[in-house]
Amino acid sequence: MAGKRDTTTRAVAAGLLAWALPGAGHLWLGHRGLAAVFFVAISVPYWLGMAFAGVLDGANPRTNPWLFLAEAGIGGYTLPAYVASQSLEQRVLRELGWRAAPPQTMRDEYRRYLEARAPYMSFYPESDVAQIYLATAGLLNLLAILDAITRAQTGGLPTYYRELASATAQSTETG
Amino acid sequence: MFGSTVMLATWFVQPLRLPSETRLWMLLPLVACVALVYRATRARQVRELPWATVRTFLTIVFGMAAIAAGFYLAHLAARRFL
Repeated sequence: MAGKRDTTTRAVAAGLLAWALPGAGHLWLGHRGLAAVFFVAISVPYWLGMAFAGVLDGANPRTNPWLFLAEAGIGGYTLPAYVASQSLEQRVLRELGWRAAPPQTMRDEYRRYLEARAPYMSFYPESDVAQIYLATAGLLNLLAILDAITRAQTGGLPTYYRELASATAQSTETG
Repeated sequence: MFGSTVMLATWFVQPLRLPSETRLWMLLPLVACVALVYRATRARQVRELPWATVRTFLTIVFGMAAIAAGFYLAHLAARRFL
């Protein structure tokens, strides 16, 4: 019973660490090489995508909620990026002397708002590349989180070997 | 130190520009990352990764090229016969 609780605690901790920082869950489990691989292969597309998107719209749930949801797969990167995005949004509004963004129905004010935002916004083709990179990085980290949880439960084996072992055991039982 | 921090912050505040002819080539680093993460989730140790990653990378790139070629041929056929 205590062993099962330990395994669950390890799995939850590995999952949370992997969510906070790509590779951190694997590092905590002692897989240093895999941790480095996950860190590089997920961080590079994330920050490259953020550099092409710009932080203003790159981590903004108001302008692109689905992208933000995908990025939320890497909490430790997306939360600071969200704070930076909101801070930049407030700076733009302060420069205009406003407290909140105007509605689209106020056409002149809304045009001024977009013009003030424009230097920090990404446009085609960079915006396309940025969205694909950011969303892919966030979703890849979900795979890394699930892998960290699985390895915490199996003592280091990835899902593939766990499935292979259970299939072999089943065929031995039936055979 | 302060200068490099400011430069790093500027990268993310003002979006980087991408020459339009390089847009398609941005596929390759992303596919490499996808292949690496996918193979890492199936590996027991890091030394299993290099060849498996290269195989997955080539499979994805050639697979996507084949799909693109298929769509292009369908487009040509549609223009000619429809």
